[in-house]
Amino acid sequence: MNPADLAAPIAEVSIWSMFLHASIVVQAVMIGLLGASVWCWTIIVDKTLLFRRTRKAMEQFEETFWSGRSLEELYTALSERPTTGMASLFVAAMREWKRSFQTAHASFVGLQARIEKVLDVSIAREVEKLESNLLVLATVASAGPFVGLFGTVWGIMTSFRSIAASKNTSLAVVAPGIAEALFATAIGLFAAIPALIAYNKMQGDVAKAQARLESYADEFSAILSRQIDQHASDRAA
Amino acid sequence: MRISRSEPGLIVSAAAHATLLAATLVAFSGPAQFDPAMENIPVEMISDQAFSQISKGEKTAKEVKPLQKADKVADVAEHKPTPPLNEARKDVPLPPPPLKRLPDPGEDDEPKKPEPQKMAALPPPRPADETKPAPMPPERPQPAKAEAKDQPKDEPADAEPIAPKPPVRPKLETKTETKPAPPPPKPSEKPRLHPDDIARLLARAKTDDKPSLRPKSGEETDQPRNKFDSNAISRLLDHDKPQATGSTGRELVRTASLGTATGTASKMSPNAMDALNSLMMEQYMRCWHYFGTGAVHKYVPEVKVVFRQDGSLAADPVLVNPTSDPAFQSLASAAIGAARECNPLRIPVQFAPYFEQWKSRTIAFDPEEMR
Repeated sequence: MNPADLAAPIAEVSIWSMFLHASIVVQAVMIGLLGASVWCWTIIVDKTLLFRRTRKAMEQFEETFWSGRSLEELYTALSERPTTGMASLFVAAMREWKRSFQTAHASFVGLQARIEKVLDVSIAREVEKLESNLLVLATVASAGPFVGLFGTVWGIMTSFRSIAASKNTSLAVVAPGIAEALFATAIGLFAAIPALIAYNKMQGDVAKAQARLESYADEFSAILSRQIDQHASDRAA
Repeated sequence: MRISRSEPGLIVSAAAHATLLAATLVAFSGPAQFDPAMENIPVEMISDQAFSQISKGEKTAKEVKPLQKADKVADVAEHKPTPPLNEARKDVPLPPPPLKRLPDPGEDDEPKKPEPQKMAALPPPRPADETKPAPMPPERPQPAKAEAKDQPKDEPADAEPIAPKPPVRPKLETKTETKPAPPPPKPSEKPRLHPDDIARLLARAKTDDKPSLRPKSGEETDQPRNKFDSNAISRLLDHDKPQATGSTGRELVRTASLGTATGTASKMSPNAMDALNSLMMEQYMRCWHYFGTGAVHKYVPEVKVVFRQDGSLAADPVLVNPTSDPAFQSLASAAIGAARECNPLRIPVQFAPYFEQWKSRTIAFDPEEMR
């Protein structure tokens, strides 16, 4: 507390003095909510960028995948660097395929099932990467107002207690305490509203990306199963 | 959370919050204070002059009777019965007993019986009728008409079961009586237009139409259209007597209004009155030729002077308090002389509007002051 605040304790009602005059609980609530807000926005920014990157990568990969290049060539190009989205699906499936063909007397029995398992796992991994931390947004959106309300109730409680102690009910005495208390709810709403909006938006984005990955996985497993059947008939012949 | 280039969320978010916080600290640093509520108190400025000119209604003035305005005394005094007030109907507590009618010779007993019951239920309308100058007895002799007027009115208000049939009968009678009246004029109107008259009218219409139907361009009409005839002016004027001839009444209402509580009038202010007084005395002092002793003068002659508008005397000055003491005779005559000598008294124009207030004055010639 700086000396200027001590000099004029009541008259000053700026945001900073409101924070300083609040009781410790309310202060904690305020700081916590402010931290939550910072975190929420961190997640929002990061996720927005991640989704944009993923979408771009998917489009790029689909373009190269359907361009007619051979799968082997594509695999060797992609397996060198870490991949995201569809490319990681492709790499995982191809790796499983290659592993089956490395041994000379490998059987094709169960290869189809294995590839589908691998695709499912990598889809789950990708989706999890996309929607990690989204639950934080949901939590802040639902709990933020309550936490703020708790701060408000606590602040009003203390201000009423101080009214009772000072035996003075003039508005000038009551008003600063209530303003401080309401400030907690304001911060809570400030954190919760963007979090809620962003959560709903990103949940939708994740669902869209997941659907896209699954459809690609189905298509790719269909292609691979055709190849497996071809190899099997060749070997039988 | 790790900070990487691909995930700049934390930095961006922290920076945004910091700037937002700083902005709010600046923006909300001094909350706008409410304007202190100022109560408007109407203050009227009033000058000395205006204050001394306020004319207030006198509280001791005669009360204005709530009479109708009358400009003339009526030749024949009219006594109109005052209409019963609305309150009277409500205040009458009980239906008066005379309502029990004596059995009429021409009526059945049946309709009579329900009547008192109705009255108990519906007291107000009856007494109001009763308060009219003519009480019951005079009405009773004409049974059929009175019944016809009163009872049909009551019927709709009353409960149906009690409404007796008989009262309707007189109503029918009156109808048949009144209806024959209108028809007679109708047959009298039609025969009025004789065939001869029609022919005459048609002939006149023809003669009127013909000249007007073909006016040739060069032809001069007999009557110039817009010729101004100064002699005809009086014909154009309305010779009817003015319709409003002034209201008439039993007595004239001459009570003026009592003035308003806050009215101002062109009344001489005390200051102006003082100024005029001193002006007059100054002039009279010049015409004062009395050099009596300065001893104890118990006598102050008072002279009543009547002025014209221009300040000249309208009448000979009169001594108001003549004395029998010969010692003061000279003083009194000196006073009258002074009033006569200053005949056209010079009165400034500014006092002209207040002529009514100074046209008649009683001036005290105190020899002590006149010196």
